Amino acid sequence: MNPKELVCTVCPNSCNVTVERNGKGEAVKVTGNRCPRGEAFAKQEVTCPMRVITSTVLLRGEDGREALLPVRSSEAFALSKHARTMELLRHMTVRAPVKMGDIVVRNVLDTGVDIIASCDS
Amino acid sequence: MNEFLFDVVVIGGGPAGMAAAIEARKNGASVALVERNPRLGGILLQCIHSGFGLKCFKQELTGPEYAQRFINQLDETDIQVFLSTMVLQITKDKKVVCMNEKGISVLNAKAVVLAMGCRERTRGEIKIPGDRCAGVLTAGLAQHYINIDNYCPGHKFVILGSGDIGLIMARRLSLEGMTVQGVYELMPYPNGLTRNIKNCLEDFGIPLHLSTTVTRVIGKNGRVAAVEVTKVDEKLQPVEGTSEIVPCDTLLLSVGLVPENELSSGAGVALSPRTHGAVVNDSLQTSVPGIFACGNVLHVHDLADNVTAEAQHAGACAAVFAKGGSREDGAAIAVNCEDPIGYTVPSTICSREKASVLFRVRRPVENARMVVTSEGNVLLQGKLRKYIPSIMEELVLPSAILQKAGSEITLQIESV
Amino acid sequence: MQQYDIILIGGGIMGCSIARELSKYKLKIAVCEAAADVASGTTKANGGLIHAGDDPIPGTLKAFLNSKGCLMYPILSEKLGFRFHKRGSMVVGFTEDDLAVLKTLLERGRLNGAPDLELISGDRIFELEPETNRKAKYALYTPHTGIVDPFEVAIAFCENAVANGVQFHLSSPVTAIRKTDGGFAVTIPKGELNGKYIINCAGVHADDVARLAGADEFTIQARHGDLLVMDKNCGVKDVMTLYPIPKPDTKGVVLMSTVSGNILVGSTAVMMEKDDIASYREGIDELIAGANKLIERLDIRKVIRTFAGNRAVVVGNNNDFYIRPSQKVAGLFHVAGIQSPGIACAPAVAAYVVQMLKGCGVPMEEKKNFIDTRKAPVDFSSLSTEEQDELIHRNSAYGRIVCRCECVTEGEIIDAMHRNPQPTTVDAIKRRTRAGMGRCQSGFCQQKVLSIMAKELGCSPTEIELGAKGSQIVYSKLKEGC
Repeated sequence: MNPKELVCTVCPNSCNVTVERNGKGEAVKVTGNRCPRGEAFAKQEVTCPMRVITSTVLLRGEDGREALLPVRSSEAFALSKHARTMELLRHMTVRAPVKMGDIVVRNVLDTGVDIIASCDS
Repeated sequence: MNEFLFDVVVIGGGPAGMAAAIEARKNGASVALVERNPRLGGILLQCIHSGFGLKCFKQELTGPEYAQRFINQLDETDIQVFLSTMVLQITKDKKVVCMNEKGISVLNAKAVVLAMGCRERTRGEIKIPGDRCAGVLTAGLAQHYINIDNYCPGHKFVILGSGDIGLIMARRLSLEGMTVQGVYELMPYPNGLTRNIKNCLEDFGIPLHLSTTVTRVIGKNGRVAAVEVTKVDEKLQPVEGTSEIVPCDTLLLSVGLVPENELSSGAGVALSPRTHGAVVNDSLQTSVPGIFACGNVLHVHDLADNVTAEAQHAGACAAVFAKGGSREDGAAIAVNCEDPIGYTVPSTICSREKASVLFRVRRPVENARMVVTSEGNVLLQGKLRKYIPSIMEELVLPSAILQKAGSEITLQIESV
Repeated sequence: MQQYDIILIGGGIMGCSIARELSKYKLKIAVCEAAADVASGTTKANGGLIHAGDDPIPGTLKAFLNSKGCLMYPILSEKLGFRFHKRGSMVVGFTEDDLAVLKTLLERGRLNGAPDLELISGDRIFELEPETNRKAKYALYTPHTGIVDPFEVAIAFCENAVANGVQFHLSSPVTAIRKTDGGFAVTIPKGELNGKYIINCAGVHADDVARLAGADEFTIQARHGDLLVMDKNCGVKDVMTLYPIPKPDTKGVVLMSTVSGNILVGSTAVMMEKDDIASYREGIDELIAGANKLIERLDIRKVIRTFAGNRAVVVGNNNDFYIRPSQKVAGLFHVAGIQSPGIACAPAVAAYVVQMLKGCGVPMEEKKNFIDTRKAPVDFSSLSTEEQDELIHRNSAYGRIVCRCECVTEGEIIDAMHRNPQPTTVDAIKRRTRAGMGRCQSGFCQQKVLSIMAKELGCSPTEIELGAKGSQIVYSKLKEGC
């Protein structure tokens, strides 16, 4: 399989990384990265890209008023599952008070990753 | 009218203001922080995406998380926070006139830190011709509607400008189920961080059209119906015969940020025509003694972490000033720069210990090195590397170099 | 079916000033305006200059009305609580040819009876206005030229007319006019209005309205003009109005300081389709070149908005106003072809129309209880610190800033929502309060304005429009919750 060129997005350094792949599409050699995190990122990226998702959910305040609560995934998870996660978040309501880091959805879509609150509300 | 007295009054409760206030307090000053919104955090509150905190906290945080950490730190201090309070005027003698629901107050300050941030450039400023219908808005306003107000400001978008806000909004809109027809960029290179091009456009299959701009807004029944996009030449002028009509109901503008310095001008603070922010020395002190500036009101940053670092420095220097001290231990060294460097902050250096100079290039330069000269002598030569306009650079000048410098130093980027 | 004595079609500055003048009489009056707000057509795309009467060709109706109208403004400004600034003006000349034109203009002005005109040269030009291009050699100085905010004036007329019983039907385009026994039946979306007389002041569409009434007697073409507004901090402030040497159809690109402190440059003059009020690159370029010819150091990067509008030109009428009874349909009166200096003439046109109606036998009996003043809305930013403090103590809504660029408070927006007629669009609020008119062009305040309006109107922000019909700002809610 042809080597794949990609930009590492782990940090703002944005290294240009080349990934050599075997027949199954798995990474066999990574070059161009300036740190080990880059190698891990590149290997993951060619098989199953992972991203942190950030969005909002409806928040019902203690006074009954509606607002939005910013949320994020506790870690990166498969990009392919982001669309379904968004659908889930669209149709849920969280009640105040909420603290930063509170779990809003546990183990979203069986990814092992939680959706957590981004701030107090 | 109520009057108060503080060592340091910080204007603006975004990332810059919060960091400056905390740092000024740590340095022993009594501090007031004035914020016009009902909550602290500034624009971070609507920047719900991640990418913050890598320098400051060594982990990737969202905007609200980054803000919350500073809010929590502030809560542990006795800093007097004035929320929903708008500063109307800052006088030369550092009276801060502000208003809120309780009336007009005057905060008398020994030192003031300006941390009001910036605003977005608008359609009017870049003079896009065409119909003036609903559906043309800045990326930041769209971000507010989507992330704070829970309203969908359009269905089918065209984004003009590949700055980070534009890119991040492209992803945000796509995630929320809206269509992004494309991102158009006047310059021949993208203006946002590379990782945002990848994570915000490539992940969602959104095309980026370089050297292309919106030349007309076409409205129908009161709302945008399409925009005309046209390729531009090297002089950034539209090329006849290359126009294309792109149907959309919303045009999002991400065409640059401008520091908001109306209050600063009112206080007599000299502004730089290059940055549109105050002219400062290495203590981040402006032309008015005791008035300091930091964050996006000083110059537009690309990372909040850099804003924080700058603001901490401003806050500390303001506290020292308020206490009657000074960190300025030598005659001012003027900091000059040559093209392709667009500007430097600070523009003078008074310290002889160590000074950090932030700068940005006007266009991408490959294989270039930083050269610092003073009165014809080369003081410093950097390694060969790439410089791009979307990344603000920092050059730290150690004591040895400052001691050698004459009345000026010049920063150059030499292509090899 | 509602019964009126007089129905005015068109709620621009003409419709509003005539309605106010007519409300001095015992008449039942309606104004039908197609847009959601008054002053939404030619009136809003206008520099707001109150010309001193020096410019029109002597003997024209324009010349007659201009010299009268401009004298009425200082008093009206006091009575109706709108801003009127007398800044004076200069027509700036650079060459001997220009001097010849200036001499013609001076002669014209004197014939029109414009007072205190002066042909000046050299340093006197720069004493009067130091910002003037240093290459200027001659100028025609007109000390009495004034300036207003055209929609502020129209709204003042409108609100005062309403206080005196005039009914404004907004969002009410007239789609049909039928002759009846007692006059006319005028169709608007919510039904028919009956009126004994019609005054047609429908701007660029006055010919279309005339045709609806069966009076195909004139044709209007639209003269399109681009304008631009600069930031208050553009470095040039409070300048005298500066004109270039005029062209046959237009006074050219004029530069002025508005009553709110912005530099405004306008307008170009190109014949275009009636409803095309888009701005054009060529027009904007012409404005920039024109402005820099008058003031060289103007920093054109400080433009905050460009806009455009159309002026009504009656074909074959020598650019004059067309104010007369219809020759074909009795009871129909035209106030058409209103182009520059329409704003300056507006109060004089209203008085002229009253005389015209009287002359045509319309019964006019003066009211005893006419209210001739209007209380101006609170303008927080113009108050002293002490006054602001006091105001906030009276009502804390004045302590909440909504538009930071123009320093507009929530109190002022709520006030505007409680005036009559009630504004219903974001643009209508902008024209009344200046919220969104500053350098950020509503980037920071639009959502705040939207939510205050929704609360006051008892509706969802999704139902509120920017200005024109269909100009919805936000659609549905994004997060539906459960």
